[in-house]
Amino acid sequence: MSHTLHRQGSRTDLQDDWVVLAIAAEGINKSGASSRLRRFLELAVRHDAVNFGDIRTGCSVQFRLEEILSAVEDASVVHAVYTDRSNLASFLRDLKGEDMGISVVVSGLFEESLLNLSEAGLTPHTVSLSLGFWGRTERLPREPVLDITTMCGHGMVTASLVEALAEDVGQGKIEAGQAALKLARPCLCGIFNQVRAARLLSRLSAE
Amino acid sequence: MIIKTELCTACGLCRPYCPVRAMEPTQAPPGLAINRDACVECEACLRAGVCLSRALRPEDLPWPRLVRSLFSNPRSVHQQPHIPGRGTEEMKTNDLTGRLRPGMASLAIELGRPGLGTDFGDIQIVSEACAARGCRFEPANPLTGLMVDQGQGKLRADILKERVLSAIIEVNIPLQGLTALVEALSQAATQIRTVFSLGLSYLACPSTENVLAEILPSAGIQVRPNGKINVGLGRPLYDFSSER
Repeated sequence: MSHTLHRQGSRTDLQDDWVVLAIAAEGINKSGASSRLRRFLELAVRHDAVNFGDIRTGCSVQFRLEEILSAVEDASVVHAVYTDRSNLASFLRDLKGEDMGISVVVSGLFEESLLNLSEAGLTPHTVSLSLGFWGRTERLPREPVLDITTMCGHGMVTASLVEALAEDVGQGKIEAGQAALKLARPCLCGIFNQVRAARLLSRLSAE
Repeated sequence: MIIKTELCTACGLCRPYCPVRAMEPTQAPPGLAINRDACVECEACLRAGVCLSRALRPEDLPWPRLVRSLFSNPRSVHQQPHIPGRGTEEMKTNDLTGRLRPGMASLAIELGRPGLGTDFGDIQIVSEACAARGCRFEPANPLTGLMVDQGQGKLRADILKERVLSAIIEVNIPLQGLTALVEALSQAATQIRTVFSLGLSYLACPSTENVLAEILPSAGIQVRPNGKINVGLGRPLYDFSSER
């Protein structure tokens, strides 16, 4: 379940792509965790997360906060996406302040992540590195498409859909922002960054 | 998943939602059919909600076809880790579990990701390579539960031809063994028909970071500038003080 790792893109393009998740541990603090996981989502919304969700329901592009909150269980993994570093930093400060005792993982550019953590008075505990794709990489979609599809770690945002929507955007059939929302819907966890996707789709459609 | 041919209008709206392009045109009657070998039972087509004629129908899946859904449908829940998806809590709860200890690395080798899918035959090629290097397979990982011989990395024979969108081999290894394992993975990567994404997790401490800063470049591995950080907010925090 390394679904927020391996997001592709240039360093510049990843500047506005942050995912924060919360999870409780089986056999340690999972029992009764649902209320704290709901609190995580409420705080995420308060700090202007652009997307959020729980796989049990889906993402905020498709469901209202209340619907997502009502389905959160002790075993849920809840997620929030940020495009603005100051919103992220204030969210992390609140998470530290509330001391809910659930595990929190931040995904994004390492250098900036460390700054965010430092501003919130946090330090890294455990780190995951992405060491790339191995094997028959020539079979993968082209890079600009991968930059979008890898924002759903479960592979639910397909290269075919990205290509089709990029073409529609290029032909003026749909706005890039609306197309990005269509791409965000299959990503059940709510970790797809539709703001970044809209920018990437515009660029792709112009090629 | 099946398509009720008598209901399908051949509109094609569902096709771009299939991660493995399993939907194929049919001539008589004109419509779409699902290539059963390619379909990984992820139900992405159904969830897309674009089939107005309700021609897409999920099936009761017998074993071993059921394994496709368990690894490919993000909403499927494995018996063992009790969380949806393909893997475990891994580093996400390491602040509580202490699963990943000082001097150790955990590798998540995700076959089929991104977006190509894989069969278990290719997964076994990689798991055998890991086993040959003395890796310990993570017991809570659902893939480990499908092994008949962890010492050799062998999977159940009845699933080897089944296809999934992805599956994660999760191994723990001392940092000293990392270079040899990376060499073995490089070799295995030439034998498979798909791709794998490789993630490496470790307990944050200067000594480990120094070792990795030496090992990874010398193995020719480029580390991406983005990744994941567990920020240690879990309570009760696992006490590593005697081990650091």
